[in-house]
Order: sequence, then structure tokens, then C-alpha cells
Amino acid sequence: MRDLTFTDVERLEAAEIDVPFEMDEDAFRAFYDRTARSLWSYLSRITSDPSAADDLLQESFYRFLRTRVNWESESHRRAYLFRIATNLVRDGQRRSRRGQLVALPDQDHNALPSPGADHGEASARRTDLRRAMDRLRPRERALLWLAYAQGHAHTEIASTLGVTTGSVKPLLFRARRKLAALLRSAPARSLEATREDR
Amino acid sequence: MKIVDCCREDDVLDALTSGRWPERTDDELRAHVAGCAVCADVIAVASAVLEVRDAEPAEIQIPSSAVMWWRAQMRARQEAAREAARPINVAQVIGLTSVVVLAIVALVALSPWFGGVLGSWMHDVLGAAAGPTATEGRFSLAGWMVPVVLLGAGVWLVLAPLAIYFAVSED
Repeated sequence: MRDLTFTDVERLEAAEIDVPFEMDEDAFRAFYDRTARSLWSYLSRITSDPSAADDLLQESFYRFLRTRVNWESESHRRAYLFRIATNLVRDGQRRSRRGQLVALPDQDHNALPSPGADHGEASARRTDLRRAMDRLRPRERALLWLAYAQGHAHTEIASTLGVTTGSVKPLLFRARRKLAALLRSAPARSLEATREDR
Repeated sequence: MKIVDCCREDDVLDALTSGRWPERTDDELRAHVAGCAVCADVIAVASAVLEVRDAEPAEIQIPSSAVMWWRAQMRARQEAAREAARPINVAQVIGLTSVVVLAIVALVALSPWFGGVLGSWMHDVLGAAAGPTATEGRFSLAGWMVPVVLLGAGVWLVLAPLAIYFAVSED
């Protein structure tokens, strides 16, 4: 969407245009408050790019609002939102591969602002995990984040990622094993990095 | 790679997410994790992921739900307005094209000079497009062009309202 001018906003606010949203404002705001932070974390983790996560968050919620689906439950609604977000990330990655515009993984997370920026042991551990996760494939990152950070059930993960429920377990096993191996090899490097920082 | 499954995986994850791991976990489960590669991986990965997740909220600055709702409303209205304007734009293009065609027809019919100029221009264009052999025979293009253009305009006048109807109609 192009940027709106003040005149555009005044005109659109005054216009009596029927907006086809399935949810009313109260329901949307309650749902947004429950899910936005976890969705942002998920997007940030699988794209390795917090600013991309900001844009994708807005686009995901907008597309979610525009859909006309009868939600069976809160988890169904949440899985649908995460699926929209996952598809948006995939589309973005396909486009960036075609255009070679942005290399999503392998960012240097030392460049990202972190609260406190204490360079302590906890911070080094978090940096290790971020770096290790960046070495995984996007789907592996998504699997691990949904399973362990969001605590989603296998059926919900399957729905979000567009895979069968039965395949979640082996995929999760492989991704977990890969990340565990990367994390085990990380401490030596992070200690050296912490010493260099000091 | 052989897929290994452990029946204690959920217990280990439950202990971790509830904050009982490792101090407030019974010795039996800790002994199991020490000897089980699958559960050791679960502890290593899940604890690292949870640590990153718990450290994140301070970094996150997302728009409020009110702002998000307002933006979505504005965007939806903008898209709806654009959608509503599309048939009008189509009708305007068709109308403008009809006026131009009718003006040309009127000029050709009323002004022999304009008909001659247009005829020779079309002859040059058609001759160049068809190649050198097409220019060998001389003919008066303006003379036969008038009924062709009139026929084209008639067809256009019949089709234009139909096109507008299909552009404006809902289905």
C-alpha cells in the first residue's frame, strides 16, 4: 500500500465504505493482544530480521482480517494466522532468491541492539542460539520455535507449516538434533568472543 | 538417520517449561536425561529457545491493537474505493475512445482534405508494413476507408455499452 496523505486519511475516514472484516474491533484487538508478540517473535526468528518481522506482522494481521473463515477454536484461529505469516515469509524468501536482494539468514546478531547489551554469559548464550538457528533452514527454525518457544501442539505446527501431523515428529527430531549439535560446538567460540569484547 | 523417540520427552519438557528443571526435578528424571540422548537434546534446545524467548519482550516494539485496527480499516477502505472506481475508469476509457473514433469518422466524412491526408498516411504505414510489393499498385485509400471506418464505429458503438455493462455488473 502506498503511503496515505492527510487528505487521503480524511477522505477515507469520512467515506461510508463497508469494510468486509469478519471480526469486529473488540474481538480483533483482544486476539491481537494475545498473539501479536508471539507472532513477532516467530517472524523475527525465522527471518532473522526484526525490521522484516515488523512489516510481516502487519501484513499477516491484515490478511487474517480479510479472510472469511469460520474459526473452530482459538487454536485454529491462531494456527491460521501463523500459517499466513509462514506463507508470507516463504514468498519473501522466494522473491529474494530470485532477485538476490536480501540474504535472510547468516546475519551478524552482534549488530542488533539488545537490551542492556551486557555482553555477559546470558547474552553470549542467546547470541550463540541465534547464530546456531541462523544456520538451520527456515522450516527447521520455524519448527523449533513453534514447538518450544510457542508450545504449539504437533497438529497446530502441521497446520501452520503445511505439513502432515505425522511428519512433524521426525522433522522436529532432525531439527532439534542439528541445533543441539551446533549449540554444543558453540560455547568455546562464544567464550573467545566474550573475551575479545572485553 | 535413525529416528529415536523417547516416552519421557513430554515429562522433560513439562519440567523445563514449568521451571522445575533441574533443581526441583526428581532424581529419577535427571538420571534418565543424563543417559538419554533424545531428552538431553530436548533440554539443550528447549532451554536455549526459551531463554531467547524470555529475553525478547523488552526488544519488541509492535504497534498497539488500536493502531493496527485503524491501519487495517484505512487500507481496506482504500482498496474498496479503488475496486469501486475500477468500472468507472473502464467506462471512462471506453467513452473517451468512442469520442476519438467518432471524431475521426466525422472528420473523414466531412473533410475530403483530412480523408486524403489520413488515407495517404495509412497507405504509407500499410505499405511499409507489407513490404515493397504492396506499394506497387496505387489506389485511393480515403475512398474505401470511409465505409470501413463507419462500420468499425458502428461495431464499436454496439460493443461499448456491452463492455460497460459487463465491467459494472457484480457477477
